[in-house]
Amino acid sequence: MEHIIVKAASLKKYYNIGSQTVKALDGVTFHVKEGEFVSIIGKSGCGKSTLLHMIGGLDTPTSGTVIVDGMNLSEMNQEQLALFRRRKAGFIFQQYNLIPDLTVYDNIIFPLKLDGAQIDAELVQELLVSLHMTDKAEMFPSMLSGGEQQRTAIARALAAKPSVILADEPTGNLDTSASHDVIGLLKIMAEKYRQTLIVITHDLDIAQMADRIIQLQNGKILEGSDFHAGK
Amino acid sequence: MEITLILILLLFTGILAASLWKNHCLKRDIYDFTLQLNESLDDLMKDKELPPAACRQDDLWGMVYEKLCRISRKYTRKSQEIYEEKENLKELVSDLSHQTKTPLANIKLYLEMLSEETALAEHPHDETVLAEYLRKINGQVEKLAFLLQSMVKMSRLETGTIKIQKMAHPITDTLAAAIEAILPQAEQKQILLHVSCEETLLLNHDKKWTGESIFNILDNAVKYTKPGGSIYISVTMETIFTKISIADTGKGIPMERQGAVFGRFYREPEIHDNEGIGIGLYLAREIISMQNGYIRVESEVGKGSVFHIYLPN
Repeated sequence: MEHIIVKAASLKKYYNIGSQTVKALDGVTFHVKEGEFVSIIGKSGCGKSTLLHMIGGLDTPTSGTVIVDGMNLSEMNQEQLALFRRRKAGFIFQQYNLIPDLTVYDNIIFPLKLDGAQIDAELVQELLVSLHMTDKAEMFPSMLSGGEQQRTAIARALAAKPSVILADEPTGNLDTSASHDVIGLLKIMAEKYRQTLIVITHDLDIAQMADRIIQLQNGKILEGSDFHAGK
Repeated sequence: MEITLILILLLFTGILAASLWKNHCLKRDIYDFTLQLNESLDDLMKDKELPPAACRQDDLWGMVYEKLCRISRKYTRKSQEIYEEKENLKELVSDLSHQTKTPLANIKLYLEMLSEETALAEHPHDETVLAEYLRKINGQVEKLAFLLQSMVKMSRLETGTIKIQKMAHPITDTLAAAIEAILPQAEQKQILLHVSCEETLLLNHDKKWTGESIFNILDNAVKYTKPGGSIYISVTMETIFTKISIADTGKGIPMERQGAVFGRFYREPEIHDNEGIGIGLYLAREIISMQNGYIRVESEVGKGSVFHIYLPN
């Protein structure tokens, strides 16, 4: 009996553009177990990001439910969703989304401060060491390379000890070598802290590092694509 | 004059009433908080898993409850893990007894046949037959020895009795040791080994166990590559990790099995009777993980497999 942390059931998201209906997601159902590393692949426009946004409570589905860690996101109001994102979901974006006026260290502890939580200095230090960022802790994002910025974002996501980490094309702006660094560290860190990890990518090379690959096509999970990859 | 006095008096009673009310509220809040905490703690003590709060309000209790939920989950997960570990161990023991039974039975059989053969005194002994039996016994003993050796390695890794000692060594030395060990098997199958590695490359790693890990991967590469094939080994240094790639021209691993090959006791379905117990890659991955690295596999059926070992610089 393994604990299911993310449960998506017949998720649909339709957009109306003029008289046309665009089906970004068309009945997506899947589960993610606790501690699992799942990658979602598919061409651009297949609904990958929409799906991730639903799981992270950034967007609401037209129909269907998302349950994360026992919480039904569609039953929550905006305030509760904000709280959910702050405590339960860690986001890593393609554009890093670091705050330019804060140092690396302050960027990492920023969500914790927002939550009024006490800073676990030991954990932050540990994260900096594992992500090879100790000597860059006092620098500003603009002084860092893309890979370093993304590593900062990883530390930020991990510092809040969320239930699930959601990464949307985390290596989209990085070259191959930096990509492997980032995704490798992400994998190692997720294993170390037993984090559940959902990564969206169009790069099969990166996707293969996951325990499981889910392939999306035209808003649907491609049948038989839910296979185990290189754990 | 009197009016001001009354006013001041009124003001004071007002303040008094307000502070009393506030005090009351505060008391009530603290009381409620403690009550809720007490309830949850009771649940925890009864081994009940706390229901994940449908995201609580942004208040102190919400925060504390959140943490309690985490502790509760951690606790149930721990007991679950312990249970699984136990089951695992059971499986391991049964697997081990099963694996050792066959060679032992074979040895016994050959010994019986051997003694029967020698007991027939009237016959002049057929030396070749005797030698054949001895060779077979030897083969079984070797299998048994290999099995036990693997088991010892695994148990030592799992129980944590061996410590990974990372030191800066030239990676070429480690590679050379592993390649040297695999050379006889590779030569037997006429498999060519190609190595490209900067000789001066220093890497922080545990020499002995990393070598073991590389050897296990090479061992598989040789096992699954047809005679006359090639194995390419290359080392590249990246920003954070150093990558050791081992590519073979073997039969490849289908996508759906690429994760499974690292499992304990995993055997490729088609080679079930071959030597091996299916812990080589499992050990390889454990060793690399213990050094904060990871292994990635790329493979295409019919073309071959590439195992990338990533170790932090």
